[in-house]
Amino acid sequence: MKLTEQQVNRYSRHIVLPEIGGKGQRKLLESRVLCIGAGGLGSPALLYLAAAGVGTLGIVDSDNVDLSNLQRQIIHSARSVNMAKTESAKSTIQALNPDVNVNIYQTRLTRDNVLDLLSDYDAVLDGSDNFPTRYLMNDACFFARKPLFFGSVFRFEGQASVFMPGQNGPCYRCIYPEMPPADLVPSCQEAGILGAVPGIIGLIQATECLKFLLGIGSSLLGRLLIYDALSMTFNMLTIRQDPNCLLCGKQPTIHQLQQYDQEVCETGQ
Amino acid sequence: MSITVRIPQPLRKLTNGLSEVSSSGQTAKELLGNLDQQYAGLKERLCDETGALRRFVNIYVNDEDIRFLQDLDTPLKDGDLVSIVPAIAGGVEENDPKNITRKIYLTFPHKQIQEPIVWRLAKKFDVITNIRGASVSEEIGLMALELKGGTTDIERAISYLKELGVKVEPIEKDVIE
Repeated sequence: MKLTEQQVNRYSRHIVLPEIGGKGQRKLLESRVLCIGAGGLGSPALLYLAAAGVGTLGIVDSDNVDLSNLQRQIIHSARSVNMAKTESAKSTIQALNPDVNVNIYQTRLTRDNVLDLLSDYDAVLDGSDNFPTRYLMNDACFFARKPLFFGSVFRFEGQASVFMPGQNGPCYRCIYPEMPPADLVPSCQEAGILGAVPGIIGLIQATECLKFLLGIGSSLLGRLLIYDALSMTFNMLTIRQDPNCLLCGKQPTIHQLQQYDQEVCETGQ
Repeated sequence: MSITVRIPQPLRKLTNGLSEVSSSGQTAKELLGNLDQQYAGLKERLCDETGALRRFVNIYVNDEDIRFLQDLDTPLKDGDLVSIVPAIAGGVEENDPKNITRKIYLTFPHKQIQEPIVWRLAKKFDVITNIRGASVSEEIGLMALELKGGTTDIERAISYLKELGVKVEPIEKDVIE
């Protein structure tokens, strides 16, 4: 595949970087990334992956755009309120970069559809907002051997890491073996988010994903980044593969996708 | 001896909003005990009834997870930096999470039929009550009640009803609408 004159121009600030060059840019254009959710984390991540020229982006989301989303979900606009998030995100991406081929899946992720969805992609960016989806994605990516770019936010705080099945690093279950029950840390009543926080975390996920596709730098594999906007600190913690992990440890007991019960907030109508 | 402890946001209401606090302890376990003295309730959020660390919270000494050191027996020294890091999610909900709705069937025992229980419920707890159906005779009262509010408030309201001897059953399906 040869870059067109227009592409050379569009991606010139990538191409001049010795770590990327024309070769790296072609890699991006041939890459396929699946993004779970087009919300707070997915919005900035998708925009930058699209702008970077990642050739195929898959977007999974079953929700419609709500006015209260626009404080942070910057891929949507006032015009897209009540539209499906997948459709809204697709039209923004196409306006930004026609090089990108967008596949949309307006569906809830379940253990029955997730492996099929993953199979078409090189990497997965988790922009989900709840624990059941996060554990489902963690397990599915482990079974499908897909790298998972993890991010999570809460009020003024964020976490990010990279999970690479088969590569001497942890999975999400190694860090947190169990889902928190809804009534304990952190409780649903405390939810709320400074809009810029998922912007930061989503872009860290996107950056890690681009580095992986390009094969450059050292990733967050084995490290958990903790971002605190109120004190404006970034802390780095070491995370290890847990030999007792039920999924990826020495004697695993999870051999297939589970029933991931919705123990999070029941939302009102 | 002084150990700096980083408090995650979900727990800061117990530390008067502080993101970092100073404490002491020869081991992680001792530190948690001391922290709980300073900020009551902290330990309960981090440890289960057996005293073990909850499985969705981790404690790091400097940048190492204590599960890969000596767990709660991990020794601490002056100047150590301890981070408490719970699993987080959310802040991205589509609906107001305070606004959950629970529909329940109530069966009032004979002695409670004349009492204004639903009124008391709404006065006592931060819940919105909405009676969707009722049938009251001299012997027994039946009511389909909708409760709106935070999860905890609703749970508390339901416990209160049970304490009064009211039988509470969930309405599985939307039988009223």
